[in-house]
Amino acid sequence: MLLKDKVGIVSGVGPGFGKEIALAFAREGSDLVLGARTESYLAEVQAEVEGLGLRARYAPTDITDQAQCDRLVQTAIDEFGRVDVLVNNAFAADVFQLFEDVDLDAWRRIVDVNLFGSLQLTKSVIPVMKDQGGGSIVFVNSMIVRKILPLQGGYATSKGALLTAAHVLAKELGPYKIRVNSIVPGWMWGPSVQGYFALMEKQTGKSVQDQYDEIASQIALGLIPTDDDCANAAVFFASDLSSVITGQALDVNGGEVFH
Amino acid sequence: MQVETTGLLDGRVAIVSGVGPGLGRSIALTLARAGADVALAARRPEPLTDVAAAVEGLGRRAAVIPTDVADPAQCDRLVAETVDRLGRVDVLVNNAFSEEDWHDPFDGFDPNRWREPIAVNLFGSLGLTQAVVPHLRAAGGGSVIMITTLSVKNPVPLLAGYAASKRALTTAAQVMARELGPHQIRVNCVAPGHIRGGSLDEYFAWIAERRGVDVDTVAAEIASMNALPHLATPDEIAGAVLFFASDLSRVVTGQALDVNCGRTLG
Repeated sequence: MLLKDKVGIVSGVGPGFGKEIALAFAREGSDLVLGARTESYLAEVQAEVEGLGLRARYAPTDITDQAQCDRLVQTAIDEFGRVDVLVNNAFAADVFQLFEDVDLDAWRRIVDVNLFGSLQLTKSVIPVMKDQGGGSIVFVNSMIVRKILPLQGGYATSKGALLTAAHVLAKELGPYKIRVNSIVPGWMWGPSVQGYFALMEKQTGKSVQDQYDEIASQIALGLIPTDDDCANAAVFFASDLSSVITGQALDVNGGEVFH
Repeated sequence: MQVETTGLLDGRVAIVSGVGPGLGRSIALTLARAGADVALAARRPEPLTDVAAAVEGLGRRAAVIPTDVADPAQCDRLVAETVDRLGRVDVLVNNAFSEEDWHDPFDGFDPNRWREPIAVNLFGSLGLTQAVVPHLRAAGGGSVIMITTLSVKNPVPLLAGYAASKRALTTAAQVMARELGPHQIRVNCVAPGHIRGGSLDEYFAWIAERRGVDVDTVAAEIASMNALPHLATPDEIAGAVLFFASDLSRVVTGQALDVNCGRTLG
């Protein structure tokens, strides 16, 4: 149990990666505080975490609102008295337009969530971790910062800024023994990609299996990593196995991009 | 490190090269604590025997197999004997290394100084990896870990050959990740920075003596360049090796992770 007696906050807990991170943490012994905008998802994941024998609380949270970020952290303090780990997983997807066509207000909204939202939640947690004498902050980044794909410029730009922000925070918070690292997943086999493949199948007639095979053929391990496998990278950065690692970004992509 | 790792490597067999009193020892014991049996390789047999006793003290099996990794025949023998005595191989940690003599100030550029680091760090690791691949394939997959160095990014002129050999190894690891991925063999690099409590202690002591200050002053100066105000211990570095050895990283391959208290940001 790599996270025994730890308390973790995970943002963006819905049906996808956020839930897998929460469950991976619970399997390793961590109690959890879950944040996301949609309360029904939070309640579901809370029940699943409790089913694993760990404690979970939640607070509906829009990370673009600093007061709601503060409330999520306060929930952890009220219930568990501490916060050892924050996983910034919440994100906004792109509007899928070319740069030359897009209304930049759409990019502003993406940056507002992916960059400033994550930074706001991080700001809320820093005083708590400083008081405790340390902690671990994990940002969920994206392979989009390594490999630019068309029509995801706003998302890529926001995650690029977030990667640099993680470096800045690692440097600033290191003296307080707060570690800051990023995981950089690529394609992840989970509800979001599965839904996208199903939509593509309808639109283009290309079967889900053919889409899977085409992408898997670009990946060294010959498969699309599942979201629960990817979640273990967050467990690693949360755990004391990574106690001397900060300011790093680990690519978790089955060997699609080597960093 | 107090983290509870029992079971992460149950039933697995690991080979660790370059096992001396420092990082190699910590890696071997960290893997053993997580459940692995360990084959211990290095040129000098004495530290191997000590570490083997410690591994056995943890309830795991150890095989002491003195090996010069620069000799391909000895690499083959190491792997064959591991399989013979421990039954299989799942993990290889290429930790053995050689570096130029840093005691004498060196001015200029002499490729001859590079030959041994390249022979041991690059071709030694490649040879041992090549020897182990058929067995990893037979096991249905496995994990190869290269111990590289901060010098890959911040080379020191005195250790240019060392730095170049490890940089080449980093690139070779990416090639291997690509080629061996279809066999579910993962290849990753762990790049430690300055370590306190291992072979670098001699270097710190030498600097301290030359400057007429104590070793703690030297260590504090180096630590002050890190984001975390600390120099890693061998045990702390070994935590990252365990991650790459275990299924926690089963979808991670071809990556290089800096384990240096935030000396570099990547």
